[in-house]
Amino acid sequence: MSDSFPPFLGSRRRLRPFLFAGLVVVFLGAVGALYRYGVMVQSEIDNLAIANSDSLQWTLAQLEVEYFHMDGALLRARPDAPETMAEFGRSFDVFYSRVHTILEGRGFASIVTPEVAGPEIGRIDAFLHETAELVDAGPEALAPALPALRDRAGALEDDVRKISLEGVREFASRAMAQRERVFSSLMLLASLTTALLAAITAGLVITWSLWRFGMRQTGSLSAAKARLEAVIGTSFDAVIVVDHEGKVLEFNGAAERVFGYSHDEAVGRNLNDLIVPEAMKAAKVAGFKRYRTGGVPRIAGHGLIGLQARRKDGSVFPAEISVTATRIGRKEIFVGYMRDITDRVAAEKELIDARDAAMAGEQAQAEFVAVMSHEMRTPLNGLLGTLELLRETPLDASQTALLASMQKAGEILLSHVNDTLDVERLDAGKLSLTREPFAPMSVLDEIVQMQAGAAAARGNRLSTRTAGRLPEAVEGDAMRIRQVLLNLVGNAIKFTRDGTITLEADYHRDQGQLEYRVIDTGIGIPAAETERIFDDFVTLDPELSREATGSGLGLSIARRLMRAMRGQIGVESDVGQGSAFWISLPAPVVLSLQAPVAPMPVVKAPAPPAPLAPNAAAPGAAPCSADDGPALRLSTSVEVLVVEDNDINRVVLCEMLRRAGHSIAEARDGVEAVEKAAERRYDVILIDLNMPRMNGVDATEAIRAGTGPNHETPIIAITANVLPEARHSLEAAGVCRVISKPITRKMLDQVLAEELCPRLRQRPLAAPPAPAAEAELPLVQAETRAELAQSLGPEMMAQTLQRFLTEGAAMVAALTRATAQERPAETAALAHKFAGSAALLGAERLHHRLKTIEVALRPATPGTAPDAATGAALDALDALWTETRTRLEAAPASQG
Amino acid sequence: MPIFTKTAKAVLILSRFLLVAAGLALPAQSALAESAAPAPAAALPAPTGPVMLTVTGRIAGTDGIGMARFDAAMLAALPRREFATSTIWTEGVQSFSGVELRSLIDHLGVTGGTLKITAVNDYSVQIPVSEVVAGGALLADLRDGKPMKVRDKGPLWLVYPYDSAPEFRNEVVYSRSVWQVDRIEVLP
Repeated sequence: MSDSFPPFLGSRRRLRPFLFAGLVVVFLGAVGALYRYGVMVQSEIDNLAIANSDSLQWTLAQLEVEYFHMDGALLRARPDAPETMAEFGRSFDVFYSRVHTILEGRGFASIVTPEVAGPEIGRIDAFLHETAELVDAGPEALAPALPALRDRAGALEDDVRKISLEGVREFASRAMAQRERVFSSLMLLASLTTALLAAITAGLVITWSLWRFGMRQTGSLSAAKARLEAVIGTSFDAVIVVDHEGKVLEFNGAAERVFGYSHDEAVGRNLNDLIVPEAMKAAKVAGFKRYRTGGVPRIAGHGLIGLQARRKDGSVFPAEISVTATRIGRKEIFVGYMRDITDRVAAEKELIDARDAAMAGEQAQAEFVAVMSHEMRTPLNGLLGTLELLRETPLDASQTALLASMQKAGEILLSHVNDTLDVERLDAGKLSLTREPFAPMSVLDEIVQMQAGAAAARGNRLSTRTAGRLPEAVEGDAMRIRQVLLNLVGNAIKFTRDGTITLEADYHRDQGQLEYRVIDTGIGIPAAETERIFDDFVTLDPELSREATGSGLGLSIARRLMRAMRGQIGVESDVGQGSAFWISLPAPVVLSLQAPVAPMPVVKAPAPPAPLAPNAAAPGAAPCSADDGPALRLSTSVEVLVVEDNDINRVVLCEMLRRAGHSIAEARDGVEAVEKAAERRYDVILIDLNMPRMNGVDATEAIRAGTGPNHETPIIAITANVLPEARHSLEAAGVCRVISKPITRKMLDQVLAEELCPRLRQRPLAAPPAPAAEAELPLVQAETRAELAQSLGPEMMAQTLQRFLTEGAAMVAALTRATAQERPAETAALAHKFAGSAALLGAERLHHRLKTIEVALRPATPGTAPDAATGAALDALDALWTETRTRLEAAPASQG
Repeated sequence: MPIFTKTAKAVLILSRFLLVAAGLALPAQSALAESAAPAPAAALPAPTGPVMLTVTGRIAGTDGIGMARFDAAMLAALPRREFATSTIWTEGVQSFSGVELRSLIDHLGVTGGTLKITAVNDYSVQIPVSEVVAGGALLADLRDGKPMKVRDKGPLWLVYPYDSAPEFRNEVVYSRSVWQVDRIEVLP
């Protein structure tokens, strides 16, 4: 369109208003001038039309005529002829009148001026005045004066002549002046007319150019329209243009193909009746209405939108539509581009199905891996156990070397399987975390204990330190944190030789963030790798990693675990200088009530063995000591009941214990275990959880439930698959501890030491296996309480006591016959928890009572009334609580 | 327009010359007519004072050859009119009082023809009766309330109310403004 116009069109367009205004001004000016000069000319014409003077020349001519008349009459006048006298009088009067007309008349002012004919007219006037007196005096007075008058009148001839001539000259010049004035006015008018003509011509030229502009505009418009029609007509997309009411204005060829209506059928009809499926009509109408009333459009201007459209034959198909609202003048129109996407939708569906199938396959594969890994652990466990037993048999040097290789390979295989299971569990979100109080520093101490040997093997020194003051206890999943830190420390040991590895704990109180750092002086990590190392299957030093446990999953599992705990993991490292791995996670400070914050209840190397004095009255008294390694071991032999259905595992386990010097009893399932436990007392029971007939949990409950010899014996559960969520039920059942297969000798020694030492030390089993009656127990065991006070310090002790008292009141209120009947399991758990707290503070009578209640209620089904004894115990709980509380409150000073 | 104006002016000038010629030629004729003036018609009253105006020609009751003469009292008895105006021949505004020419010819029963009005100095104009209208020509006998002498353009002066409208300020009107009127002849 614009190609047919010069480039300055734009500036011309800008100037157009000025141009127009200029033209208007010129036109108005011309009209004004024309009017003004028209008025001038008009007045000139009027001047001509209105005679300001009579015919002046006539008057001047008459002056001479009437002068001669008078002169003649004067000559003829004879006193004896009165009519001649009268005629003189009359002709004098006429002359007199004429002269006065000249003197007074407007047209003669320029003549009677002194410079022109003043003296002459003066002389005539004087004559007239003097003669008038004579004439008025009558014929008698006039007669004698006649001769003198004749002389005087004759003398006036030249004067009269002079006036006439002056008049002729004056009027000639005056006529010329007037002619010139008229001429100039006419010239002005003519030039104005010319100017007007020029303006009209210019107007015509402008009109003509505008007409040509319009013609060209029309031409390019129709060309553009033709082009647009061609574009729309050949478009593959259906193009439909509707007005604001939905009436179709345009319907292109593609639309005809897509919808089945012809152009003529469609144009003029409402879009609703054409292509909107019946079900959607109401929404469409509402949408248009909303848009018209100023609402926000849901379709127009929103890019591509997928919706359903209807063909002429009524079939509905998926369409993709893009609507643009635009304004032409004051009318709004909508341009819609539509495409039948039936094929694409079908293709997409196929793709989605394929993807879903693929994902299902992957899921199945993952599950397969998980199940297989799990299934591999049990036989692997058996294999490793057998190898350990084999090592105890007499072997020659080469056999020992082979065995070591086998064991090493078996351990690596096991760690791979464990890693795989961890990854699968974390990725599937099956991991559940516990939130329990733990001492931040104890985690590090445990790790040092476990890893000190490995570190020393590579010449590394492993140490811990705290940055700032740590809280006594925080809440979190200590086991998972330990798992992560173990991985980091393992790596540090692996990549450091003859260096130091420092474990640091730090707590940011303002953010409630617990931070651990593992700092080594090893080979370091290139900066480019610091992010990558947390990815799956990344091993920086293939040789070194493969040699050890490197499945390449360690750090990625660590990162997964940290993410699961809403924490972070990271590393800062300089190649050759060392690495500092850190983890940080939210861990609120708590008061530890359930788990006493106590020093490690073991003696660590290199402290000399310090066997605890065995209580003579206690057959199972087991003093513990640490041997030359960091591992713990009981220094005395104990009696162990091993419950395991898997023959190989049971044999391995028994053999390990026997070698450690313990005496063994075996049971093949839960039922057998319960029977055995009823026969005699054991120091500890190791029980597998998954067994036929009766599983470990049920067996534990049964053993705990009765008043049999083992109802207080520590029970350690063994499982191949520890589900964290199962831990609570295990605890509720009375399991003290859960250990994971495979069981190693070292692990066994440590667990037995940990479980038996504190018990033997804190509450010697020297007392009768079960006190005959609650009344025989002290209300508050002063020793226990003193020990606690020592561990906690006065401040913490006071807080703990206060918390116990507060909590206790609520507990007592909740432990009633009613709750016992309605929710026995819950009540049992409450009693269990409360019992733990009571034991901690040495409230032994209360502890006993609660344990009794717990044990009685655990197997009960909801709705069953508690038996008479339990009911009575519940009823009397309040009284006992009051008593205990009074005692606890009364004696704080002595505890300081 | 200019051409018209020019033409009009030419016509005016030409007619003026013709009139001048006529004016020069007339005195002798009128003198003859005057001497042969017929006796006044019996139907009209006779003047008692000096005659100021003589009307002859086709006037009612005279069969076209009668004569009517008016003295001051008779003119005063006719319907009168007065207006003030300036003129191009005198200085200042004056009031003129007299009988409208229309009233006069109505009084005399003139219905058509042309009026030939002649002055003491024998100046004469002809006015078609059809152009004599009310509110136009006034045959004034008083100027500023006083009778006019011949020297003051009396005794009768045919004046128009020049100031009241432009149509009274053109050459034709000026040429018809005859002063020192003493005769009117009604021509067929």
